[in-house]
Amino acid sequence: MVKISRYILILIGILVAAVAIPKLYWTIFEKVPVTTTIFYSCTLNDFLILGSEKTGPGGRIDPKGNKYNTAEYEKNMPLMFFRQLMTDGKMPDSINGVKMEPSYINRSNSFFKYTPKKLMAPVPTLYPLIESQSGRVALTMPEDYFRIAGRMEFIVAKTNKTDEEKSVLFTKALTEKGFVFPAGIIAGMPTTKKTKDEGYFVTDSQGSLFHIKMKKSQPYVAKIETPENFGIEYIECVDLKTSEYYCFLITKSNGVYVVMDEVYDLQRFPVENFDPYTQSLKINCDIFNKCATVIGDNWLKATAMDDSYNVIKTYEESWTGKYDRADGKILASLIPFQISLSSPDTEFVSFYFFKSPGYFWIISNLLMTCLAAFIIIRKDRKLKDNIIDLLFTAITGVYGCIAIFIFPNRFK
Amino acid sequence: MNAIECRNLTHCYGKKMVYENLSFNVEEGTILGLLGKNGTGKSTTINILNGFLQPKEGECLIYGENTQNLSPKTKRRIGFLIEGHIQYTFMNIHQIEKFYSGFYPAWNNKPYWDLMSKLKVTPKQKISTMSCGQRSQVALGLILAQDPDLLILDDFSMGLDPGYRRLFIDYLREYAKAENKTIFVTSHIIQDMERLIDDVLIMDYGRILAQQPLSSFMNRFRQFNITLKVEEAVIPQNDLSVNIEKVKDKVEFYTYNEESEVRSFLNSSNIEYTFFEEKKMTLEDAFIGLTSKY
Amino acid sequence: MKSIYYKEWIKIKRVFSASLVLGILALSFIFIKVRHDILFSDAAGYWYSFLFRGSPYYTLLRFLPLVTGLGIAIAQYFPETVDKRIKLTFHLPVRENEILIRMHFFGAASLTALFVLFYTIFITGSSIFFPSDIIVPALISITPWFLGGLATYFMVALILLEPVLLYRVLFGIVGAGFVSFFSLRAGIGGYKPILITLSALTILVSVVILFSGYRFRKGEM
Repeated sequence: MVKISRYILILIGILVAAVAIPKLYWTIFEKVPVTTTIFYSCTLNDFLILGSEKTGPGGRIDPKGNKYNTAEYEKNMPLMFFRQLMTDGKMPDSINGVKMEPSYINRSNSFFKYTPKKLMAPVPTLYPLIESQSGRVALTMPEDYFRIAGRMEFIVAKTNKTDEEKSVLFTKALTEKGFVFPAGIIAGMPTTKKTKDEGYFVTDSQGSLFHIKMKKSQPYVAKIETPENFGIEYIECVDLKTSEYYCFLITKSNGVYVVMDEVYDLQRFPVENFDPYTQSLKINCDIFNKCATVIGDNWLKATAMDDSYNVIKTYEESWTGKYDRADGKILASLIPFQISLSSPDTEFVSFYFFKSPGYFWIISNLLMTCLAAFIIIRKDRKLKDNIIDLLFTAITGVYGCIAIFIFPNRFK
Repeated sequence: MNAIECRNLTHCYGKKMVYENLSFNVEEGTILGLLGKNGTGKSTTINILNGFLQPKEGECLIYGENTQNLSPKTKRRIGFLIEGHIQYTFMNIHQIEKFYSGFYPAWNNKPYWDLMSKLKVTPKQKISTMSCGQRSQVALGLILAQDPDLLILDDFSMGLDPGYRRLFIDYLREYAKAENKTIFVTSHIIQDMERLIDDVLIMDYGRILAQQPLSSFMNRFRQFNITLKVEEAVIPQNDLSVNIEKVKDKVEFYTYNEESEVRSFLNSSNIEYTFFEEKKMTLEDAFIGLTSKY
Repeated sequence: MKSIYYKEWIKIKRVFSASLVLGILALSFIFIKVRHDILFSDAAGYWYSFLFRGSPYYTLLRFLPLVTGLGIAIAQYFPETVDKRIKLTFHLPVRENEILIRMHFFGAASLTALFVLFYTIFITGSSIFFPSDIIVPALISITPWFLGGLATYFMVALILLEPVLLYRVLFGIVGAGFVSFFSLRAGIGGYKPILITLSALTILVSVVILFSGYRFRKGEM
């Protein structure tokens, strides 16, 4: 039992070391990576790249290699910097034959960003259903919240009691449209800081997609036709001033779609094989173009589209990965693995295990095992009493070597 | 039958050897005093005896069981007084009696309350607020109530007034002899030991200097005070003397031999002296004589 | 065996009572404040800030279990380390590991009793104001804190009983790292995937006290 208690302590020691040592290492030695941002210029009809390994942070370049200073960059991104250009009197009156009006530019500009953290995060199970046709100018928060489990239930916050009448009304409306309880994904914009309310996009237990709103206190439910085995993984609603589409959908088969306003048509985004668990997606839209950027570990792929989602141009760039840089390579050769309680890809706390790439760590583990054996012999202890300790060190390298001496073996 | 048997004990702290191949026994019914200067391994021995230290080599047996792994049954037969009369001082005398009584089926609280009634303490007074002497009585009372067969008392005299010390010793000796108990005792204050112990075990750095009944040790170990005629005379190495302390022309000659043997040795070594006398020793004198003053 | 628990109770009764009062005060304050805020602002807004802004109403509980675990461990084991009194305990006619486990069990059970009581009050209080959709994520968030309280108790006991100062420091570093796993900043409900692992680890470390007990008995110094 005492021996077991020691092995438990060694395991805890290894766990703590595997979390703390890499964290400390990165804090001290990590080089600031260059972040690359990419936009599509309507004047150049090409991409503009902000910051890359070639230019260093803050450098501006196009795919042909032409460099741009701040003024040139802003001039070629007129829809993004129109306020600055107008102040300076440099804004053209029209671009590509379209008259430039600030309100029009502003309305057409939109930005969307997806990161894996949005998918892998705890989600609430209660949402407020805002009255979308109240007749008032401003949206107001309701006094109750709904959940969709066995039925659609409204709970009044003040009393913490169910509003039976409303619950029955909405449940009936859902059932009539073929909704099978309980709900899967519930996605909406539970805020009053938006131009209009479009309620929620909800999947049922069969995976079918529904649109649920409240109009003049009455339920509005629409079933959205989707292809067979569509398999929705993630939904995010957006509030576009142009009312072009309601929301983004990411499917289990790695497709990205938008649900078009009013008609509920599914429009596929020309972004292929998008993995929502590891990749980020940025979408910039303006009057003329949409530019989608998929960002992976150490690469990005930008796709520029015209107004009708046709691909105009694509651009790919990669940079040196974390473990191809000197700081990462050194760490990967010293330690066999690292454990982190958090991950850039999720909001959940867990033990995230990451094996060091390459095989140099095997040498380091062997060296650590030899060092451990040397210390054991120096302390006049027999190697055969310490086989399990050496095994710990052989497997976990520097972590094990530290742990077995913090909790020293005194058993004969 | 031996209550304690220690065989070939070897222990060191790091590179510092405490002792090597130390062996001794304590017979049932006897009171053995372990004497030694600081650092000779008294505490080490006590710690090994109580199972709080694993010797590098060798073993100690109490009633035939290795002290590293005593059974509850055997532990019940051992009363243990920690150096400084350490006890759970966060309890009062009622609580501590209640606590210990649960562990010993043969618990007899009479001697405990007899001792406690002599202390001027209030029933709710925590032991931590008592004087050193009062605490020693609590610790002793608990051991007596436990009624063990073997008592291991580590430096029981520490911090005690002479009166308490005398009381402690007299009580203990009478109790031990009446009930045929075995006692293993260490103390800094050697003058008390004479009244208490049957056998003496004297340790020096790394070895045992003497282990025998106190009476035979006191009879056989002798001190001769000699005044030399020539101050510079040097008494040569010999087999007789255990220790020689020389200050100018005055020599203290410690030996297990008879006066005549010492005299003939001095004569044969051509050492002339003007004065020769055997001095009667106390145990303390003998201890210092044996282990030297330094 | 009752005697062992008797001594442990004498040692921890003050800290136990203080923790009990402190916990009840903290919980009372939480719900008095919830009631006040719901009354004076509005209930829907209060729910909203929990659901969509991630602002919990129970932050006060974050360090309560940790402090309680620390308090009970110190109350129970510090008196044993003064003058190495644990020697007396080991000398009692019970197997050394058994007595240590029993002492430890008593401490852990007392701590668990406190925590169960706090949980009950928390759930009861929460259900007055909130639906299960809020209480469940709230429980997921506070559970690691309570597990961390137990883990703190186990690790502090290990550190206090350790005889060598250097190793106390080393155990302290490992212990602090380990206990920090239980109270990382996370969104409401963010601890869900790790709760079972943390529970298992907490159960595992419940016996590590045997290690410093063993070191003590083998005379490490």
